[in-house]
Amino acid sequence: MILLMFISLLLSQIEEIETPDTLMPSISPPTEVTVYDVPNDEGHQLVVRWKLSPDDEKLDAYIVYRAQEGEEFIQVEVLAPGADSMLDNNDMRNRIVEYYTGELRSLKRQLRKAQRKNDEAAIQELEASITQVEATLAAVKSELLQNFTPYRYKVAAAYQGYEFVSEPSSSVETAGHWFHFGRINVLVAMLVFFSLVTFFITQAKRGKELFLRKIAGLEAIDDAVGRATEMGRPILFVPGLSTISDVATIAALNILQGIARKAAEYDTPIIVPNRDPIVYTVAREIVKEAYSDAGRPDAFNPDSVYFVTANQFAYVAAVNGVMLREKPATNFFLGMFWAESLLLAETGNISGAIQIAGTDATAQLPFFITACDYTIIGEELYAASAYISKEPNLLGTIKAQDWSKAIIVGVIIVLTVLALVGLGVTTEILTTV
Amino acid sequence: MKRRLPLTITLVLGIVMMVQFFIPHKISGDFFTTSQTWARVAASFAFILGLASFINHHTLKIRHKKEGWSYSIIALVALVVMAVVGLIGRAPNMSWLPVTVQGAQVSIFTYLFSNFYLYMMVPLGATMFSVLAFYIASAAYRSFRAKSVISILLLLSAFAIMLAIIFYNALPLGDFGEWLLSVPNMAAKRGILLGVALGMIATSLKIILGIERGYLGAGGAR
Repeated sequence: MILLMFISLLLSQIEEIETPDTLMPSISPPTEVTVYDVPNDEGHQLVVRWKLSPDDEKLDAYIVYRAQEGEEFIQVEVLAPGADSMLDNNDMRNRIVEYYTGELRSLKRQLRKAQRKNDEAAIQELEASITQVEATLAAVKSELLQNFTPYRYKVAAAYQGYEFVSEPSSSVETAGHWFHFGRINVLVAMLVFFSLVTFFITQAKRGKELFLRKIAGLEAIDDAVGRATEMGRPILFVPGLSTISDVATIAALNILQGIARKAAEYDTPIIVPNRDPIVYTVAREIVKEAYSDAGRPDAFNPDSVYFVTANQFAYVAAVNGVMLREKPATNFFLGMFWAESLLLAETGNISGAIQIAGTDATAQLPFFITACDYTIIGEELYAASAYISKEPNLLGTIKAQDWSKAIIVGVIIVLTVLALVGLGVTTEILTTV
Repeated sequence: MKRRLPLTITLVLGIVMMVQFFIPHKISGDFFTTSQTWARVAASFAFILGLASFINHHTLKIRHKKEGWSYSIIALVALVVMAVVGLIGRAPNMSWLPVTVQGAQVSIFTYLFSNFYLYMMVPLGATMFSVLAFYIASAAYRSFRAKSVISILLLLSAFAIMLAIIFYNALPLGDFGEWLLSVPNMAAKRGILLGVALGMIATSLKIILGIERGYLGAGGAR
């Protein structure tokens, strides 16, 4: 009996010490691992693709390995089952490098302090920490993808602690590119537009008369300034709430220049409250120069152009206060506006001022149309300086704009018709361009 | 020289930035990032000018006892208080007058700064924004007066959209409200956007080439 028990125990032990190979489950690894460099980027990025393992549903994960030519593979990513591609780049590693570089700098600063105090214990502790951080940093840096270095990848299917590794991919290099081929359509459109601009400017310089349709909002500017002069009340000019990098703000400032000159000529005060400090400095210079240009530099009031606040609704409150206290006869709201558009325009309406607004923010246009006397819609804002000055060069660009628009509309119509008759490629062009 | 230098800088940088858009290389990306950083640095200097303007404007208002001058006192006091509280409260290793907030000890300046912001600035901003509801009502009343065929069409469209939103699926309107928004409305919007995009490019080009000089002050377009 004892002998039987001993034999059965021995057999069970033998089962336990059997090699894992004999018990290894049968899982097919992923296949066809391919790697390619990401196009139109600055390099340091590779895309790895593979064919899923037929046993994908059973798997715990896919593990992606990478190796430089002649070096061992290192693990770069662990992905959930079902994943058949990955983007290998340095985004996360760069963040880790940045973190440890900061940490190292801080430790070195602390070490210098400890050395000044001759604190031996702290020095030793800090030196050990620095060595450790430097080692980590070096390890992370060694994992960074380098341009012009050949890399191979392999993908392992992980299942219950086992890894079933694919064949390695062929070697691929990553590189920074010098032209973004995805933007070639923009380049073509730009060249066409530039050619049209050059053509129409030349035409305008040769004396060819270029017709511009009447824009009611711009025609009304003179009358609005005149009204303020007659009533002996100031003009309020709000150059939008955006920054100087917004083209709408620059367009508004171009209009301000003409209005300020007229205000200077008629000796009508002009108030220009600003939300952005850079816009404030530019607006101030424009108004000041306009007064000088009108031959009345002494009439310029430096306090008429001022910075209010960068806070959106605090700015609105301040400008509404100006409208109700100073009672300007004419309000100009030109530039970029957001939720404050109606707050400003309605207050101006209540104060009884004649109001001319202009913006390229389509969401705010209905508010201005409702509450203002004239509204300069979208592109009219950009045409304003040309319209007011009648300068041939500027008029030429307006014509080029119109022709470009006609070309775009024509292309859209042709492509739409072709798409409707079943030419699939046109649908692709319409959705991508 | 006063004009030529800024115009030259604009021309050179304008062309460089245009070329940069088509180059995805790291050198190009680094140049763009550096230029953005410089723009932020320049903007911070402009803020000093803005601050000087703010102080000057309100000081003059108080000195000349202009209408509403008392609000200028509040503006200046608020500026000083927030600046002092913010600067001291945000100073590193600041542990003056600690107070316990939700179990953690913070400087009283940090505490005041966040309270001023959360319980004064935010509600005041929200109040201004709330006024919009009343203004929308009065503006809508003016717009929807059926004076002409166009305003009747506008009124009917708005009414259909309102009904579609309020009585969602309860009225036999189908997707009419949605159709109004996504077809005729969207078509008009895209038309405007197309013009805006071209206008932006044209204005940028005019500025880069020095054709448009109005933003430089007197002299206008030329």
